[in-house]
Amino acid sequence: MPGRVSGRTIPPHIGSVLMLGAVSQVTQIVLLRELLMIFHGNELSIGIILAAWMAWVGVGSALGAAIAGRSRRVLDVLLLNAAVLLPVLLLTVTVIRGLRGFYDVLPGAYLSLVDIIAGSLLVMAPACLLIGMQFVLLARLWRDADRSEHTGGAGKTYIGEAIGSILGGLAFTFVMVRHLSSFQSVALAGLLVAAAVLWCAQRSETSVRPARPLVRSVVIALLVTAGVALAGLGTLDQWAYQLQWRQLAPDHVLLEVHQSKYGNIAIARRDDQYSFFRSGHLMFATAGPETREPQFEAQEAAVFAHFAMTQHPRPAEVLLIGGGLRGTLAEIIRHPVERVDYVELDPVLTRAALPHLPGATRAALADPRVRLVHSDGRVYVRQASRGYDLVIIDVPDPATAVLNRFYTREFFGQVNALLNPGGLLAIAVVSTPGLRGGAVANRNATLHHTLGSVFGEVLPVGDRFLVFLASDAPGLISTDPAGLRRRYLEREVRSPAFSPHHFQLLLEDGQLRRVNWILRSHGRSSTAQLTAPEAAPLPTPTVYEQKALEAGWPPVNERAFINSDFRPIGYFYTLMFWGDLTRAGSAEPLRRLLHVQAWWVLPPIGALLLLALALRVVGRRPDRQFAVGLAVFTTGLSTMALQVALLFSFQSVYGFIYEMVGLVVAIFMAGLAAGTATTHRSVKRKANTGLLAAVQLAIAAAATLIAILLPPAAAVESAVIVFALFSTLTFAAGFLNGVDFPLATECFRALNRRAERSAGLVYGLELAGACVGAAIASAVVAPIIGITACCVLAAAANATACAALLVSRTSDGG
Amino acid sequence: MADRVVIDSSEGRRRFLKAGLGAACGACVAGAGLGASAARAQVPEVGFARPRPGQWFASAAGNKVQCSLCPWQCVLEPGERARCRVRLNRNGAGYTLAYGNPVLLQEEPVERLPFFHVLPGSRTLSISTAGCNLHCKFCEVWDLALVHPEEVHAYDMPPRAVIEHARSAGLASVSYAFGEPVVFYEYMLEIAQLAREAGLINLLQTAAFIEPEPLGRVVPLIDAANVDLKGFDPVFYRDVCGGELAPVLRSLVALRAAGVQLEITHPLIPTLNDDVATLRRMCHWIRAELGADVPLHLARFYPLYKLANLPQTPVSTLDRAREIAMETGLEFVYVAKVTGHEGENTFCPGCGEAVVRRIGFIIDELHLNAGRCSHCGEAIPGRWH
Repeated sequence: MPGRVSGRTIPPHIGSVLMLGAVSQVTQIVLLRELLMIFHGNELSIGIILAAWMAWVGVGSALGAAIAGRSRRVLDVLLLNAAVLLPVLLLTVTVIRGLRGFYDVLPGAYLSLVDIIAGSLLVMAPACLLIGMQFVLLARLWRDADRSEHTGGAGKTYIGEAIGSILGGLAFTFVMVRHLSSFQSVALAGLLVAAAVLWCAQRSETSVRPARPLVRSVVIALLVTAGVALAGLGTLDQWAYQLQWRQLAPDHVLLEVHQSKYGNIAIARRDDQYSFFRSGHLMFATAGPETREPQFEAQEAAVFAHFAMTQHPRPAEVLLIGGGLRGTLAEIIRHPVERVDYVELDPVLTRAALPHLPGATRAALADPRVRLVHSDGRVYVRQASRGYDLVIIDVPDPATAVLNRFYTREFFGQVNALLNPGGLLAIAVVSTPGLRGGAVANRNATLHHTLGSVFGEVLPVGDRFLVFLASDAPGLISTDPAGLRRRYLEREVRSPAFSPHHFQLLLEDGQLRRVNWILRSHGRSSTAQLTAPEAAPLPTPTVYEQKALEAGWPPVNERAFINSDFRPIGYFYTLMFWGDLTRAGSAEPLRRLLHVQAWWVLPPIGALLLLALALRVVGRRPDRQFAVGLAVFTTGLSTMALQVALLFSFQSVYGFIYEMVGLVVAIFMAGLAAGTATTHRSVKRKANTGLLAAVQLAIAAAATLIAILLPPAAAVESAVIVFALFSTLTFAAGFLNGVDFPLATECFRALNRRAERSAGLVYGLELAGACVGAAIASAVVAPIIGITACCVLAAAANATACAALLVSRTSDGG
Repeated sequence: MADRVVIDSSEGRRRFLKAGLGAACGACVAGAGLGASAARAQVPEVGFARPRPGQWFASAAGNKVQCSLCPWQCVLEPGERARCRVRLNRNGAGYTLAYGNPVLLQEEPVERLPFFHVLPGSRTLSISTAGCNLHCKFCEVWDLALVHPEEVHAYDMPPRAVIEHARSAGLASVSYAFGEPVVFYEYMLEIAQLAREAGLINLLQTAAFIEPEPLGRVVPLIDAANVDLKGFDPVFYRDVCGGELAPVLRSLVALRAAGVQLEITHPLIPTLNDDVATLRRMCHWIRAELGADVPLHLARFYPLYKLANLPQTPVSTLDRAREIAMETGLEFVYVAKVTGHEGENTFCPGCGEAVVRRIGFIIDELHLNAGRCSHCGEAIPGRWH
């Protein structure tokens, strides 16, 4: 008998629905993590992978709807589906591990956009189709259990799935990532869902035909086999990693793989060189403990450290954000410092790297002057109370929205507030020596101008590795190699990786003038971001002369060349730069997106409204269907646009705490579930397009309100209040979107008379909207127009749907 | 490949002036007294080009032209661009877009190219246009070499202006370097002739992917060459560099036979061309065909361009490669792009003492006397004055 709580029956399929939510969340995270090992961890790759996920789940739900509509053997199908899902998931992870082998690509080369799209679509299809089908099949079971014709089952399934996905997300973040491999995670998820479905089939009291004993036996046999096979998953995991690394970095010995919540950390060795990868992406390479002359492996870090340290006359208190493991820390403490606070994000990385690092770095970590803090750099800077003479930021380039937070005006402002009088900031990025490409010049000019908007003086120095120095103290930053050399010698620093001659090499006059000219002059017209940077004139003025000239130049184009938390353009330019570097790639397709203007949203809105009017002339049903469909699509779109806006703002303002981000997603999903439940319980007549229109308007109004509230919320100092504010906004956004689902499904059913088709259609349309919303909000709207524009986009989308619904209602005078 | 419209220079200039930078720059240069040199102030323009009929083109049927400058031997339809991106068929006539429009024009120490056996510590004028006839996936200057001339800013610099610039800056040499001089052949040839007349020496830094005849024409004007021998495996050349090995080897032999002071740069890219056996074969070939006294620079690879996810070359790999090269009898084996490495120094093959000590492009110690080791008197090959 089904379980009883307080006299109420808990239907057996609830377990399956919760499991479905959990398994789809866990699978999504695992496949995303696995695919990012092969692709590249920027928003574009993530967006493409999620879009492929949602697209296939949408198709799967349509397939499920077709089956549920025609067959009464829903339980058989569900059982087989669950039984097939497990091996499919294991196979999918295996195929992803070997995916690079399918491309004709050199080791160390990035895959192109086309490769990423094709790979995501092909690899995820089977698993996503099965998961999408399950949703509709379970909705059918729930409806049958309720013995109703309406779509309440779908609404409940939707709530159950949302709750399941929260649980799945939490289980993965806090437990599975630490203790289980990808294979074990998906196998466990697959087993649990199969067990839940089996239990449900056993206990089901619905009108659908009970599962055939044969099918049930086959599924049980499969489960038992899978359970036994679980013992071999460790070996499979090792084998698949070796396969992957033979393609990623051939001739390297894969020493260790660690799972951290921030990504998969792999350590590969070649001779005496140790390379550290996060999610398949090279972080840094160092000499090992056995290297006879380790100094040359970390030379880039050494040059950065000593150049920054000698720029300050007496750097007693130093803050280092990132980079300590690659050698920067060991070089800093060769100077007579009193204290170095070293902030590193990931304790798993530190722990894993330690045994493989050269002696100097290990000694540095044990030095009494050094304090290692495992935290997000932005959280640390926001909360730090002590002042520093020098802040060195040695984090990867702003390739993602998360990394971009270390390159924004707001962050530089916070760092500036931490600096003691006469203090200095040093930050570095990978560049090209000539800075001729639009993408790399845009990115670096943006960094220059963003620093310039906070600090009185900024100096870029270098070629392939470009260092930026920034300070408010006039005349502090030096371009005089002799002076810096003297300072270095006076401090009696002895570094085998660095010599006093380096100052002369680094400050080579021609290169210094050229780089400064390009970065100072680029970005001063309304279309500068669309063209290659101006090359330096001949003869090129000195840096001193350039500073004098700058006063007479047009102001910086703030819209395109200031990187801020609320318009993170920096990562878009890095994305363009990455486009240049991919296998067959170029930055051209992304560059075109730079033309995007806010008003571009108007023509599609106009076209949709015109279409609604035209359909009204055709007849009642098509225009209603269109309007309801549009409402569902736009709700999906605004859900993701708002989630992107909230997550971006939260990450920037509050700092990147993985658990917190997980919590924000959970709050959103909780809002979604609560919204759906509210409609489900309190709204009597759900097939009411007027009410649906009102909900659209409410979402639009809420999105507008969020757009207005985000910037002031960001300015609030108290972390608790910020968190409370964001949580409320996030819950509200989720709630309103949740309200929408049962209404729209029932509206569709009223028009179509088929519950599962309606549920499948609504689920699919909402996912499609979510795909579009996620892609355009994170890769285009947020960086190019701004975070608040994501909210405005959501508002505009739902307002349009509201208008279309009102137009369709007038056709029957209702 | 479709022909692209070259932006008219006057239009480019107008745009630039509109931005207000040209005027500001002119004022600065005059004010700072930097314009005192003979070279007039140069403001680069995007897409600037001086299309002009090129050499080494032959007419083919159907209004086509065939370019025989490099081993690709591109046959071009009217309007079509060659692989190098700068040579094209304009209405049945072969044209070059890489003439008088350098994208790179900069002064620097010769050691930076690197030339270690040519006028140590001297400064040179490096020059390059856009374009390249190879497509290396580890290209360091891809934003210069692997782009069309329309995409980048170029200076308006006819050959005479280049010579004037070099002389007024007191430089000893002109270097055709960083990009690929083969693709701006006509421009290089004219500058080289003028440089020779002006008493400047000509330095060529090239991948040497060129046909023997055009190479033969320019060789008498070249004083020293540094050839990028990117690997010694034909498959590597094809897959990673987009070229062929044999023509490069042929060019190396021709340069050496013509008496050009020759140096070789060999990048060592982890997992792609650092195989010990191949390296050994390459060193034996250099010794047998070119001579043991040809300097070999083993250059460290840093993750860049299409290979941005490949770790840098471990120094131990470079050390081992250097040992192998020296074992095979090569007398001057250097390690490039590892500042402060012992392999940056020149050691006398006679007494083993350091004759030139370098840190990057800086000369720290020089123990040479009229091209001879000041410790033992052994002659060190090179162009020392």
